[in-house]
Amino acid sequence: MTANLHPNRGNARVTLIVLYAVLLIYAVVTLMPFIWMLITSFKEPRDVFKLPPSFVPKLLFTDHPFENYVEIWTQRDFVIYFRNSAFVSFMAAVGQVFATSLGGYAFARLDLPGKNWLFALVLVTAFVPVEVTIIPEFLIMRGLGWVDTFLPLIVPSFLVGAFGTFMLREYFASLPRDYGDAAYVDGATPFQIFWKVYLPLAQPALVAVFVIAFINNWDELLRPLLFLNSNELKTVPLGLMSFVSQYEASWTLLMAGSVISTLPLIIIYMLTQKYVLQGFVGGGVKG
Amino acid sequence: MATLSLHSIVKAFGKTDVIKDISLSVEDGEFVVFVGPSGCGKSTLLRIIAGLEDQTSGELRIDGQEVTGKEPIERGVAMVFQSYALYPHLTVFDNIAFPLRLKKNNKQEVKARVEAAAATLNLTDRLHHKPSELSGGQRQRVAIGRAIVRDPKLFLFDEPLSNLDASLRGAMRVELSELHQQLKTTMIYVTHDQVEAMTMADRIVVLNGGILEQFGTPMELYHNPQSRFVAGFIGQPGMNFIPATLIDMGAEQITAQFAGQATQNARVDAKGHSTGVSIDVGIRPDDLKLATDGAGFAVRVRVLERLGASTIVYGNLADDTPICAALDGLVKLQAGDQIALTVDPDAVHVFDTGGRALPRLAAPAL
Repeated sequence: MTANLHPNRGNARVTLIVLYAVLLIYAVVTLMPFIWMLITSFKEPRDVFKLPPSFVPKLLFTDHPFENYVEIWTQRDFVIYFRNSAFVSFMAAVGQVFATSLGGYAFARLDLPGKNWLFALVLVTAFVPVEVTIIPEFLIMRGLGWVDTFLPLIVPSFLVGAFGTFMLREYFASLPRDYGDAAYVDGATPFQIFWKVYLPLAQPALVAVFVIAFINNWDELLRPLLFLNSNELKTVPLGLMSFVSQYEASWTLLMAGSVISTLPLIIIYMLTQKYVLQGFVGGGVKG
Repeated sequence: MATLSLHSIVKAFGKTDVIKDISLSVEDGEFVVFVGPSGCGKSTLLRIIAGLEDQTSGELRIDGQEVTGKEPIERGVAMVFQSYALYPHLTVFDNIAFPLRLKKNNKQEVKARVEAAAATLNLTDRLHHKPSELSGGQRQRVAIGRAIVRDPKLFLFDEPLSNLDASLRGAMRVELSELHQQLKTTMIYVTHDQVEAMTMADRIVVLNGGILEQFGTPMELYHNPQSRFVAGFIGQPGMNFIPATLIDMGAEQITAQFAGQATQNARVDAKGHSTGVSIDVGIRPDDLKLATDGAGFAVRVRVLERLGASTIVYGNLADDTPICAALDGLVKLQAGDQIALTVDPDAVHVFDTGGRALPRLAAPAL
């Protein structure tokens, strides 16, 4: 009787099992490099390439299991790199939120002649490979006397950002126009409408833009490599590079450094996951 | 309080005119309702008055001052939106205080005025709630509070009750009418619901396709509609329109013949028309009675709606023209019955082929 009432229940269960199996495989493939990175960070250098590979590092069973972490943190200037990365990434992410919220709002809500063409132009910049722009960028920064400072890594983020502008334009456009009209009738200026009404409502999208910009800048290697020379200005990716040279590589230290450098991103994402998802889904504001 | 006058207002979007040469004057303290079907231009006209849209041509005066090109705040208007447009991130207090804070009023004054508005609207115990925690009626009142706290010259309402359920809508209609009596401020109210228009308005503007069909008191519109459109739009259930031919014209009344050969007299002035022309005879369902003396026209009953005090009878004439009558609540009828209905010639409306009403000779004194 029940089977007749729910003829598809058996098929649904099979579909669910297949779905979970596929997701499990995907999870293993995705997570394996991270797990291997974590395992290697607890190994001794001689065990890194040992065959068959060991999934239980020996260092864990000694009286100094965090030896690799202690070394990079105390003897390798990693604290400085970490602090520099945090500062540069935070400032650049703030810059992205500032620039793209203004741009996204203007493209979504203001009546500007030719704004759709301008928006297309901003989007096109996302498709220009960094290799094309990096040399002119370097020449500009050198001309400004900004080489070997954090400014080349921070200031451009305050000016433009194609992805953030696109995302925030869509988000602002999804918020009801009546809010702006009501505020305008009540005497708000265009900036007050942006600042007091729409910006607070775009919080999820702003958090999403901040997190994405922070991650991108945290992982950035090319620009710090090009613009930073002094050791005290180096960022985490440059610090990690120092563990690899032409003839040898300190794999265990590299992996320990990588684990440390990955942790902030994981923590930030976990704390802001709800907002980031809302930011991508769009402005379903209730009330 | 303020007067409002529109002179030859035209609004075009591209090549399409959505408002076509509308002129009207609203007196100080009046409650005027713009009513019409969807797309008739009533909301656009309201947005032009608010300053949210610019008219393509024409003059707009508030208190005699030309306000075209002026910001809404300079016009002294406040507006309540269909969606309420309450800011979801702010509390009720902050929503109502929003316009006052924009004007940089001091904190004590803001608090006093918000609390006074909240007391008027029975919202005092909701001041620290977010809009998402309120019922539809409470949200509506917050939106009204945000408007009245500014003490504007002119209130504009854009279909403010359309998101409420029927019973709450009825209660809010009464509240809004009381609010108007209390504030005595000029109010312009947009709705597609003729019941709202009839029950609340001092005067009603009926719009159709961007044209002003008629501007008058609810009773003028009901008893003396100037067009077939107004006659059909005002009144519930709607007026019956029966295609007919003008067969006789007297000084006091005319005689019309329906397609099914039945005839009906009407007390209208048919000057300028001649026998043999096509007309529409308009009869309000409330004016139809069961014929007891064999007079009237035959109707086959199709459906009955018993409302208690009255029974709405849906039927067809001999030529299949649909007809609706509002009869006594206790009338003993059932679907399929053959009945005869009659109407006093004084109550009959007649419309020419262009949809214009022929003047009634026996309309009630208003």
